[in-house]
Amino acid sequence: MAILARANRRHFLRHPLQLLLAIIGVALGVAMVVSIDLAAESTHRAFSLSMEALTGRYTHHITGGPSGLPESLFTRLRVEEGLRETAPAIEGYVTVNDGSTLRLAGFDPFSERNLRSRFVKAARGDDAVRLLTEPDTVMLSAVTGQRLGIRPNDPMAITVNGQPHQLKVVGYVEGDEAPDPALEGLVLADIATAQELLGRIGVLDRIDLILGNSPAQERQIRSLLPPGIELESVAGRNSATQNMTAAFELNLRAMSLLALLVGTFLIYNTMAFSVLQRRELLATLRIIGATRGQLLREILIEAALLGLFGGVLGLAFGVLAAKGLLHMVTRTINDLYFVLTVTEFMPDPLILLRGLALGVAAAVIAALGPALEAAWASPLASKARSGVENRARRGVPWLAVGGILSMLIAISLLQTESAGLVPAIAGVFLLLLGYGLLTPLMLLGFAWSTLVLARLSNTWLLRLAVRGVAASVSRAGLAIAALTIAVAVSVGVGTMIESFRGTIAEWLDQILQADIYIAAPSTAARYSPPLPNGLPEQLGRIDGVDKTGTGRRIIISTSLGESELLALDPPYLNQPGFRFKQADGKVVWSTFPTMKAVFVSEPYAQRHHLKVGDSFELVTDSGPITLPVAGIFFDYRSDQGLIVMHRSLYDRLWKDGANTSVGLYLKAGFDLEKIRQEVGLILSSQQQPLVVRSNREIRAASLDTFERTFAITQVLRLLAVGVAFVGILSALMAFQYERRRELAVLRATGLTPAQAGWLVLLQTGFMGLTAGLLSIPLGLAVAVALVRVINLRSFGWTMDLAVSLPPLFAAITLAVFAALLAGLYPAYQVMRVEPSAALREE
Amino acid sequence: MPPSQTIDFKQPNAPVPSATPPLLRLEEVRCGYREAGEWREILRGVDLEVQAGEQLALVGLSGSGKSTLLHLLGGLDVPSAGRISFDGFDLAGLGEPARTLWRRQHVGFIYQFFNLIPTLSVLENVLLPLELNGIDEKAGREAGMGLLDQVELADRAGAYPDKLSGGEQQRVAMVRALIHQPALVLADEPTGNLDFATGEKVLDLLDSLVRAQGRTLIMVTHSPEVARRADRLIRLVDGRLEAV
Amino acid sequence: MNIKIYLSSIFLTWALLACNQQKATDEGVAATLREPDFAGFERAYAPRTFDFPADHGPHPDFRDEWWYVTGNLDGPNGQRFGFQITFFRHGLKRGKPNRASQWAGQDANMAHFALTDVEGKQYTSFQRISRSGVGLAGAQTEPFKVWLDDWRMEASPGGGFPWHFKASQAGIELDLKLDPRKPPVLNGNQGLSQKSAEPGNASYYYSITRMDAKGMLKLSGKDIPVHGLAWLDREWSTSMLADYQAGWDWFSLQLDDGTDLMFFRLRHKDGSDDPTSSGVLIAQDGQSSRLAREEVLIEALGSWESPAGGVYPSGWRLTIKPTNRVITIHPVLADQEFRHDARYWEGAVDVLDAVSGKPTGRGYVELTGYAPGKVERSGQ
Repeated sequence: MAILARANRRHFLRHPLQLLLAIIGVALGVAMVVSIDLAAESTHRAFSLSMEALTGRYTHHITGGPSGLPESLFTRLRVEEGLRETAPAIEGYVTVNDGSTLRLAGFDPFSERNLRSRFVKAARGDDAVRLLTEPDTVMLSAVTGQRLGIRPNDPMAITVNGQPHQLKVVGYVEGDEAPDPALEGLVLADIATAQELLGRIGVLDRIDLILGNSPAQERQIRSLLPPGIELESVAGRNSATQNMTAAFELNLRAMSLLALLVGTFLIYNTMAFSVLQRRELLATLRIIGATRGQLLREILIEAALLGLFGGVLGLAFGVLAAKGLLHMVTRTINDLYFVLTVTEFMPDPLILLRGLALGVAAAVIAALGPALEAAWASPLASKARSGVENRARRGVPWLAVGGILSMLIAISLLQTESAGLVPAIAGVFLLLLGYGLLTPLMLLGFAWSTLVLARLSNTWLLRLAVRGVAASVSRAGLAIAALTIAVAVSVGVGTMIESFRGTIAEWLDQILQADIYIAAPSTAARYSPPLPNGLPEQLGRIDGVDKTGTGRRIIISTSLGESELLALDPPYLNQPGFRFKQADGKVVWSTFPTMKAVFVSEPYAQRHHLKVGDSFELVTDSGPITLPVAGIFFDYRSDQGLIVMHRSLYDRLWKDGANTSVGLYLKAGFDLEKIRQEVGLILSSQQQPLVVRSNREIRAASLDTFERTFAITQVLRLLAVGVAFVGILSALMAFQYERRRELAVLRATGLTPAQAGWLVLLQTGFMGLTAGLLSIPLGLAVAVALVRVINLRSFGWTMDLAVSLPPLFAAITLAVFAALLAGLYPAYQVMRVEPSAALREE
Repeated sequence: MPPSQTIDFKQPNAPVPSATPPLLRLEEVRCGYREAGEWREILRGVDLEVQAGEQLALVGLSGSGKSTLLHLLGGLDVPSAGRISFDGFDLAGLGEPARTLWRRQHVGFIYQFFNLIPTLSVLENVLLPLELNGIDEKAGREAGMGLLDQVELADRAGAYPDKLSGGEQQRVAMVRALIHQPALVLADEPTGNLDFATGEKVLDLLDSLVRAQGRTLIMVTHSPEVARRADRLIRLVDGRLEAV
Repeated sequence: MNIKIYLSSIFLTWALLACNQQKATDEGVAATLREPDFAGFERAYAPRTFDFPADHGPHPDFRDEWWYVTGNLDGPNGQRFGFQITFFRHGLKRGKPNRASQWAGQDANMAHFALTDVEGKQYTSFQRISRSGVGLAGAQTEPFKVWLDDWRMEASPGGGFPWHFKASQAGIELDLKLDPRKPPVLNGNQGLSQKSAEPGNASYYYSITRMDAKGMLKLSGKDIPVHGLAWLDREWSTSMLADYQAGWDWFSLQLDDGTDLMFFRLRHKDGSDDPTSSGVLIAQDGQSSRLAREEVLIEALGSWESPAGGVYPSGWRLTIKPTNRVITIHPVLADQEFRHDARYWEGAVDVLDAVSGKPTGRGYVELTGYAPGKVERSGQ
């Protein structure tokens, strides 16, 4: 409908700021959803691609314990058992000079051919001969080579297990083909070279096989394997690895949805405001004969277009943001889960399309209310706004009832222990929504009590301001609700992070009992290189060292899947090394050296539904053994969980003399720095560089990692507040626009421009204060939900809720400040406009 | 745009045709609204017959219900009681969508404050009713320009309303009210916002256009001079009509 | 015989590691062959003294070496089979590697295994490759053994004959005992077999032309006892072909009167025969006499077109002038083309007396250079 459409569309051209705000609102919402989706998807794709790149077509692995599996097993499978479709693998991590970690994969080009893996392509002609016959030769992913500025035939300096090495790059893995992002971070070496570089002479990490779908064959192969060596399917292993990050990603997505919600609110505001401004225009159109349906359609088309423009802009923002976000997500995954070297960004068209659709849908849904209002409004001016307000005021109690109902549902969702993570997140959303619905009623109550106070102090301007807010509860209520929710989320997330930090700090104090720790530099999560033999004894002889304790961290197979095991040999038993979930921690700890049982960390127990007294099977070098759980301890180092057993039990079950860390307990009165120097002297004679850190340094470094982990959360939190701020700005503009005639009358009656400006600022300040105050209880409720439910269900971590006042004050200040800031422009307008002009308009 | 939505309003309850049926017949029309819980009645039983081509002036004190009556006649509102028949069928019995379709075909409105669409040019404003009746911009352009020419505004066709004087705006509003050849033209104090000379000019034009096309005109006014131009003068007093 | 050069030369270009079809041309092969750098390997310039059984084992100072057995077998119910098994060793670098890892071998190994089922009209072939490190493949002298994965040929527990050969894949398993009926024959000039004009482009080459083969064939789930005659070719070298050479036709025939005939014709790209083309005739008692190029006349009787492209001659008439004998040679199956990383025709043949038309022996024929390029999978 050409002219009718023009009549409406040109309205926005006359109010470009509004248009901009609406588009930015959609754009921000879409950008957040899209960027998080893209970042998550990229890490996913990166993961599966790198898995695929490394796994080729094989269906099964044979894996060994901490010491790997003997290479003779491979020869036996091939030469005696005739298992032709097999390939050996060794994997490790090396660091390059820019600090990034690369994956060193040792492969046998001949065997890969049997598996028809993609590395068949990788090694070609003369390059392959060099790889096979020259030591220290590798092939490098082209993407990584280009990033590091390393070309074929260049040398490449790396550090592996702390030792510097000079490698020769014979070529790119891709050969003359296009660089493949899936191979990013890959260093490919002949298996002999890899064994030598990683110090794994005589052993393999894995044997990859292609097996038909034949249980009999699997059984047959299993019967050939020595104890401690396992056959498992690739699919199972990959999905297990990928499942590790599921909760993490779900939390990210929930955050992005919240942003979209706030963005939707922004669109609602804009559309409502634009309908409000066009009230006369729309009435005239109705008088001339435009039907309700026509107006409804016009406004919804408008919203859809807004959604489309904002959506496209949002996609652009989102793609940009995703690149930054990807970095953070990858870092977190590397810190917490597994090494992911692929950083190539892959914009999935499906995600972009989904983001766009989400933006358009959100805009249309948000505009539905204002559009209905516009279409259903009587064209007769006498029945316009006050009627809406009256209706809104009548609706306030009903909204409140709905709010209370939804909060009740939320609480029941959050309290149902058996429910999973998704219902819990839904619960948090319902909590926010319910509270938002309750906000108008609370606003009226707050306004009423403020009026009573204002009457007592006889501040007429304040009274005028508050009455104005209360009078247009439909606009003010919504703006305040939005700000309240945004600030509450910020308070909740902030409190959660605070609580977590406090809990971690306390936990670190408990577990870091030794004074000095020595370990090999670890280049990757869940991989701890072993220490040289005899080192603990040597260090224990230093004068001033009272006792030594050792730790061995390895990945083992259990009936519950691949798990991390820590074998400890603590010198003191008077103070428990962990805080146990049950009360008799001290008693449990005292039996530690002799018990034929394990402790599991809380996340492990949560993940596998273990209780004290439950048993599970561990695959050891002497075969599988079933051990009971003697205790569950609080632990925050990994959300995958940890099994702990005493070193003496470990030694009985595994043929592995290695240690991954040594702790030195000093005698009283000895200087830490001095002993540290002596430790340094001993270590300097070692082939392998080792890291010496005091417990204070470890504590600081751990808290650093913690901060890094939550960096992304903080960013999202700020973004949500930002979107909310834009929302508040447009809501306040609508609010003040509606009151312009009232203000003109006041001006005509003698209000000075300054007083008018103050009035506006008082109103917005009041709204901000209301939102700030209302956000505190909600924020705390959100914090409780996050700490007690979401985190427990996502990661299995129990935390102590720590509420401190400064963040709460900061929240109120933030709300008031945001509102005042948003009020500046309307205030300026009010001061500038001639009262006669505003009056004439009617 | 969708195909013109026309409804044959004469069919459903057309009475037996009399010799010269009135265009409009109001019987015992009442109208009011609820305010602060109390029923306030504005029109308290209005009876009126208007013949096609007749020109009526409606006068009365402020708050006597003139505008309400006009809105009822234009189908913007429905009476709380009574019957309004247009060309023999009952307007009050129509639903909102049907009344809108009826209005867009048969009624033209002229307001004191012109109520032009600020975001549309003069010509677009004029052509909007045609478009709503299914005649697109191109097809209606000639008629629109012809009428604008008659009110001496053809040269301002591309201008936006805020660039026109009050008299010019009212002439545009007039053209917009007449462009789709409505049977009934309703004017609410069309000169109320204009100085005397301009008002006279506007009324002269309105007069000539309405008479030339044989439209029925009902005009609310406070001005005796304006009222005098009408064929018939009626007065609203206390929600009832008095013939003058 | 020479097929092995061909194969080992493409070893690096594709057979081993790559599947770049672009390079799979004669050019690529020839380029590798012409490579002036012999990576420090020795070359065959002059005749040497052969020492058995030591020379059955590997000669790591030379780049390429192979153990090559073909033969014709009979089943209890008149079934007829041909088989080929070849172990190749290709040195990537001379000398023992000084490396900590056991994987760091310097050899690349390949093996071909093919079976012709005449009754079933089915030719099946397999190819395997491996490195020699950690005992996955290799060859040894004391006791003799050559193997790749679970395919192997080894001396009997005492260290001598009969050799035991076993290979299996995809439901086909051949398990044979091989016992020579004649002593090794030194081909060419006392075992030095010149392949082109350039000195050093030669191999050390001996054959055991007649061995009893007896054992078990597993085919389609059935165990079939088989027996027949086999032929062993042993050759090692560092460089052989010249760039003007296109390929060769090689005949190894075991005649019913107890004589054996080997003859190879090296073809130039221009279609002419290389002067080094030659052969040997081994009498029943093992006495051998050389056959010069002009002493044997070869006429092709027909042709066969490979489904993967390329036309091979198929069926020949051989006129052996010194003995005044004319025979015709007929493939037992037209398609006995080995289609893997390398393509060549290697098939069991019947030998008929050209005059009487009566069967007078069996053998194997190898044809190379007719169908350049490689095919991903065989028709197994």
